[in-house]
Amino acid sequence: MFLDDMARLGRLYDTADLGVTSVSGGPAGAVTVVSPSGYAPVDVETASLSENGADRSGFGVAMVADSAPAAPQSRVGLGFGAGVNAVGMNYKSGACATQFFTPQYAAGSDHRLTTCWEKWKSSSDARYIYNRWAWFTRANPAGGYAGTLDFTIRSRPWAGHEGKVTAFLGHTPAFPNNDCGAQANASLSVGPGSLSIPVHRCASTSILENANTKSGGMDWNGQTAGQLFLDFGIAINTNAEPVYADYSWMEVCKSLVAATCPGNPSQYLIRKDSGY
Amino acid sequence: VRRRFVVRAAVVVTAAALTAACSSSGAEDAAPSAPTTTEPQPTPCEHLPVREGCASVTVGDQVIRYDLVRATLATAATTLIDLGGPGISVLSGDYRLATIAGSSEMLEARNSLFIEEPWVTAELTDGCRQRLDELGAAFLAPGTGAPELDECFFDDDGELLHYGFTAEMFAAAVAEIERVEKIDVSRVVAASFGSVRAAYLGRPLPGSVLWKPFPVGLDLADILAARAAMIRTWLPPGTDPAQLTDRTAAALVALGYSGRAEFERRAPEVLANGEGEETRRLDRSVWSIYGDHTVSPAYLAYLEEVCNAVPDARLSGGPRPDAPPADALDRVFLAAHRACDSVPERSGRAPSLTIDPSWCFVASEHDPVAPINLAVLAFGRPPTATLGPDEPHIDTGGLSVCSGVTTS
Repeated sequence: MFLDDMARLGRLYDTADLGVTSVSGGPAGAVTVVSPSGYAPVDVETASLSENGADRSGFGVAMVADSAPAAPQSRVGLGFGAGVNAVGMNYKSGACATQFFTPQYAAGSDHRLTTCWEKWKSSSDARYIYNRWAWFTRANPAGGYAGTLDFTIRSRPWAGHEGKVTAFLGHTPAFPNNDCGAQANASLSVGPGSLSIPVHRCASTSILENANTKSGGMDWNGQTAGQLFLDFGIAINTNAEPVYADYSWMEVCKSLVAATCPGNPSQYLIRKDSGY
Repeated sequence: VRRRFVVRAAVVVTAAALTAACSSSGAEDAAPSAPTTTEPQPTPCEHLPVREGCASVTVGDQVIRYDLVRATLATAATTLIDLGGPGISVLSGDYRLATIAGSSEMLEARNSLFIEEPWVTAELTDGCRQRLDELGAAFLAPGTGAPELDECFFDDDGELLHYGFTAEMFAAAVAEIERVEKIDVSRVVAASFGSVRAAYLGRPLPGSVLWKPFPVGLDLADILAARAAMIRTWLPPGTDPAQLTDRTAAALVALGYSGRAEFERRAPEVLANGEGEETRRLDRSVWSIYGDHTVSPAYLAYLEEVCNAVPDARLSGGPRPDAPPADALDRVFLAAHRACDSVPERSGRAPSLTIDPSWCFVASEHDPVAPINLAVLAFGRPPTATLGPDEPHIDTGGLSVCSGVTTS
């Protein structure tokens, strides 16, 4: 499925370039991560609680990429088509990983997260744009209702590599937005270079920009049985190719009907960034 | 509320890596999902996540997704930007559509419309998946028989399945988007195969752009021969095209998309090491192969549109009688188009496109994907601007050369 999905996005991966990491145990059940070699989970956190007869579970995975994860084959084919268009920026590397989480309730599918990143370098200096995005679909329950309450993605310099990022230059989206609709586009500029970040469905999100830690992120809170998508970019200055770690956190509730699902959202689960 | 437990799980890398992946995803496919009243139906834009603005219209049975990047000041005036293909996933986020929409003065103050090819969300039957797997194996082992692809183009009831656009579908989709969005598509920027999409529209589009265009109306045999001929001229001195292996030739075709300078930098490695990793990857990319050896459905879109855009596709069993003996480069192109025989033939004329003097027509001097001499022949006039020999076909930067040229 990872391979099929990536193919529909124009990314053709060779089976030999993929690895699968399984995480044992945990209240949220097994976690299976499919990713290109060079982009792997380093820490997984799961937690769950029971309240008012409803089970809720949260789970987070931290991923880190080395400087050269396995790349998909170029999107050439034999067609008569154009390619990627970025002004003054060179694509350096990128990868996606799909994570399957066994739900705590009877379901016909797993919870499913796909998380991706790309690194772009200015063609004229050492400035970079790190673009991170992810989408999440909670498992479809066999009966009753299940909803996602929280979906958060963050990225920050990987431990031991902080010194490579010398300055934090910007974050997009630049401010929290409760009404940006489905057609928003933002761009980041570094000198003469710029890259549009296709910010998509960003309602009900807050921005997790932190210039001190050179980190960025987005946090969606609400309740939905549908799919969620987050996308952000940060611009940084560097003295060497930066290495970023990615963190994702999802929380899912389950109950008979939607109204009783959220329970008490203020009372639970690890939200700290211990994994990255 | 009592917290039951919090666990930091250990990370274990399994040896049986991919079987685990298959069982995980297979469970999702196989398990019956009981209908529940609470399960939301995914919208077309959630069917497979897109990374651009996304909306959809339905024309006939076909759902068409698109991104409309609106101008800062409200206007109905809209440019359809078609990046060609067939076989690209234009809403994937990889094309940075807002950057393209803002990349030229001639696009500013107008909305930009991008339309996604149907293959991106098309569902494949099990039989078709199997054929695509067999086809990939055949592509990687030249000389072996390739499967028929009829199962991909017809459903069990004999109804046509679509991966690319038909002229009627495309024109109807644009008309429906115009109605829903209250816009007026009055220009196109037609990159490469976008010229065929412009032809589908069948309306005057003064002030439009043809960017390294596919030569609408010419025979496939001539287009493929010209593509192979251009690549031959780029080979290092002393290289005999007749000595190329099929795998090496396929890799060289893939390299041709990157422009002459990049071709000359990387071709020696491919030529010196026909069984090497670089050659293997390029070979797979030209056939759109992923996984073990599965051909992407992007190839079905390619076949459906290209085979129907040229007058002679179903004659593609071999080179023309007056052509020189086929070398491996010719064989690569022939192998790729042999499946045109499986593609349902459309009624009506092949698309045609007439451009008036207000069009900006840009070609590159050495282009092994859309050769300049064929474009001049197809459109009956010299280019407005000619880009240099090192210009990669896939580059859409530089649209500003058309600013000030277009007048309407």
